[in-house]
Amino acid sequence: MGTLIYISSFLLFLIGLYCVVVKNNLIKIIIGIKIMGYGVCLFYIMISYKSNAIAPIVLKDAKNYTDPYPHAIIPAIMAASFAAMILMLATSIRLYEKHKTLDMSKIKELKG
Amino acid sequence: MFEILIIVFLVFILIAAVAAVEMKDLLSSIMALSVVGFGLVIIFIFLAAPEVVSAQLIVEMLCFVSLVVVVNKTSKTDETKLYSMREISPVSAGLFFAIIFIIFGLWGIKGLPPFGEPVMKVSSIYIQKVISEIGAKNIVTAILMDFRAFNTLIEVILLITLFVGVATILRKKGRKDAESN
Repeated sequence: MGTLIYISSFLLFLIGLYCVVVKNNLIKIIIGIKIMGYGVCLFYIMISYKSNAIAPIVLKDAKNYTDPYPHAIIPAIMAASFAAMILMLATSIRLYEKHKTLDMSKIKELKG
Repeated sequence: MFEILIIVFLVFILIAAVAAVEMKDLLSSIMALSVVGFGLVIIFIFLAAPEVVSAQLIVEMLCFVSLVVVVNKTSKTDETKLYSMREISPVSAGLFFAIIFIIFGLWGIKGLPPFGEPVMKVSSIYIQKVISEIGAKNIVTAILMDFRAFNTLIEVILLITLFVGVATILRKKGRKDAESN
């Protein structure tokens, strides 16, 4: 059962990877990158869960806490993926103004 | 029972992710993407991670709003076709790496700790020190602001760089145009 839960976060990452590789629309590619970020966050939270424990907030007679370390790393991942997404959106607005399309196969000025 | 509940929500999220990838209408695709994000919020609540819940809610709101603004400014439907035969090589390379990822992922899952029993080598020291020396109520805040303060500082620098970059890309006038006007 636990392995199934881990595998589902891997599947979420793979759906994002498929979207980035196969789709041709710029907005779709950005959505794929967001889904990959979600998969990574989900995996970090899953390896931090402890059964029969409370959230990491200090109470008087509590001894079992979930692992607080990944909770502190996750906001960094979120900030980085958010920053990447906003920069890609700004670039895609500029590309649309120049080429009047978001189709990657028609924007070929930078093709090597 | 608890794990079955989590798996039900995870299946819901996976279906929403497939819908976000496959829909032709970009606005409904963005809707499905935020279904994934808010479903993750529910799972984070179940897995006892309140700090991450608040961060995820804020980031998800901002993502949704900015994506809707961009789609309103550009095209609203996805009219692209899949790659033609001539461009098949990047797709096949990507699928090749996906297969490698699956193989190594299934290999690596065996080495993970079982679900519900994390390895808390560093965190147990953190929790002891927070209770005995620092005295903060919220352990995650203590880690963010005390043990890993430089990491948080760099995050703030990253956000400032983000705003500078967006302002540079989206600026309408260059300096020469402003002078000629």
